[in-house]
Amino acid sequence: MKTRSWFLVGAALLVTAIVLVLPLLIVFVEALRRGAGVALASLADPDAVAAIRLTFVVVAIAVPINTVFGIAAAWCVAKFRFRGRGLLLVLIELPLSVSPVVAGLVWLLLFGAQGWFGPTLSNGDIQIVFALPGIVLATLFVTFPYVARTLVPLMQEQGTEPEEAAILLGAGFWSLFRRVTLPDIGWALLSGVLICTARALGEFGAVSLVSGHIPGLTETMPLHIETLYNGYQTAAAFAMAALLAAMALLTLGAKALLEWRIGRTLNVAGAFT
Amino acid sequence: MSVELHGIERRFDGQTALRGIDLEVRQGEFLALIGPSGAGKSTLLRVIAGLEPGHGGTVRINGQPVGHLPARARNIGFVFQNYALFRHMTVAENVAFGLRILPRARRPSRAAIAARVADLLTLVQVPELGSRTPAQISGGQRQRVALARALATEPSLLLLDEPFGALDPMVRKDIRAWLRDLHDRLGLTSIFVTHDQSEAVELADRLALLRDGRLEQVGTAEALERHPATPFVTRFLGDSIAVSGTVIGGRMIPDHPAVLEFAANRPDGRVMALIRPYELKLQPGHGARVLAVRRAGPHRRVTVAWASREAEILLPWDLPAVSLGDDVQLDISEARLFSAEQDLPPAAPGLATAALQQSPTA
Repeated sequence: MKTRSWFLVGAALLVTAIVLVLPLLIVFVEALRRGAGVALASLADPDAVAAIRLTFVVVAIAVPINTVFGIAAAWCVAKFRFRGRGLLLVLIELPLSVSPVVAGLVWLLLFGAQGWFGPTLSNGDIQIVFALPGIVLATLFVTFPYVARTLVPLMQEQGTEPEEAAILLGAGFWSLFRRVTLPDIGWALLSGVLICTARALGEFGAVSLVSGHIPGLTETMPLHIETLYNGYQTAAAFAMAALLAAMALLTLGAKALLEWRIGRTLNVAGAFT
Repeated sequence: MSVELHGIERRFDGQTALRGIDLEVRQGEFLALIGPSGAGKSTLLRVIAGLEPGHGGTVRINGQPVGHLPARARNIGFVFQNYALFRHMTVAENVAFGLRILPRARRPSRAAIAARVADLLTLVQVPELGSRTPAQISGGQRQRVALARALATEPSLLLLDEPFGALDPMVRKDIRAWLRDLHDRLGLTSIFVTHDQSEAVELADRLALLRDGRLEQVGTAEALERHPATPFVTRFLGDSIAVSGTVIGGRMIPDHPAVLEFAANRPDGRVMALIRPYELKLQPGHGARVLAVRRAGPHRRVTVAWASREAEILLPWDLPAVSLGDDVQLDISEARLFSAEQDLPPAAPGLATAALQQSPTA
């Protein structure tokens, strides 16, 4: 029994090492193979800087929007019983099951030059596809579920009694939300926002379709990595990839730290009950 | 503050939780809503509080219909079964909540709020807990804090949902007496929900017994015990032994000769008699036999068998002793009589079983 469990643990560790750790290591090794100087220089390239800036802008727009709507959706689904609730739950999960490429195609179909609203948009001189709005829309779609999904189970478990207690004490909607609901989901919300950020940083498929790959203009970091790699600029591609990976790792690390802290406060609370 | 309920109905997804409840709670009264689980007690409490906006019927508070008032505007103190304290706030912040969110014009100053919180925590006898969080205090303390929070905005109507349900028996006894005293001192009108009839009998001025969404009977514990409207009332309030028989010419003649006949002021017909184990008496005679005698506090617990059934009865020590194997007859002249049709099983048989299982040993 004991040997078998050791075998299982060992196998799991091995698979993790090969599938998850090794690729990450290779990215960093490749990036630094010709020295940190070369890697840094490639990141200072104007197109690279533009890609990094665009990525940050997209994240800065998409994550707050999805946070607000994620909270709203989770609140509705977790605290109320209404017709269509099941449908809303499924819709929240939709972006997880639909390929991002399909999502990108939908935006093209709607807003592209040959799309439904294409003529209207070009008449009004509004550019959505192959520009920032399209990239943001694609990112919004793909990263929508993360905040809501982190919150729904927690909010469901917390139930509606604290809210009802607050209402009976005279609380209106905003003081209820600000003083009771929001503080109660605080840490989980932050954790959901972080995973949403990590996902928004790395989104490739949907963004790739609507961005048009214009270097220096509509390329986010993942897209720029592909361009560099296809152009045989391996070192620069890996340097950018390492930067992207490091950013994702930092976000994940922050999330893990948060969860560890929540777990610890919960344990402390548990000791008193 | 008086509460009048008229024709209260509530349906959930096609299932009826409350069916036409009429009930009046008087100013200063301490009323218990009792009944088996699923009878609609908590739902009725939530209707009064304004937490069930979809109900039918009228709720009047102090004679004024409050149907148009949302829960937040009713100023009703409500204590939840699991207290529903705000986890992320300290005890003092919990108690201060109702005052802090008042509109600026009516909000007391910071110092005044702090003083009021200190007063309230003293009132509920936990003045030292202000800076703790709900997770750091015991169940009984949480109960007191929840009460202090509910009283902060000086409501005159207090609603409590199973207020003692989550407490261990020792703490429960203390808090019961203390709560009743607080109710009297503050001149509150209180309604509390419980499934424990002994708690209701001990604490409340009047009991309202709900069964399957209907009000079975309202009255003092004494009235419910002496003049039960239905067999269910007697069964819910304590252990009982059922004996069937027929009333003929003003006498109740039990079906089995082991039970003595007695005078009954009722029209002729089939009847069912319900009697408490401590009301039944034994006489020398034939037809029933004593199977066991055990000591039970101030009583003898005597197991008697007649026909093909057994029952445990309680006899005071000062009566002549009965012993094992004695031949006896049963005197049930103190029983309450119901017409046999009244004892038909209720619409939902599951609920009746629950009621019987919950009727505790007296």
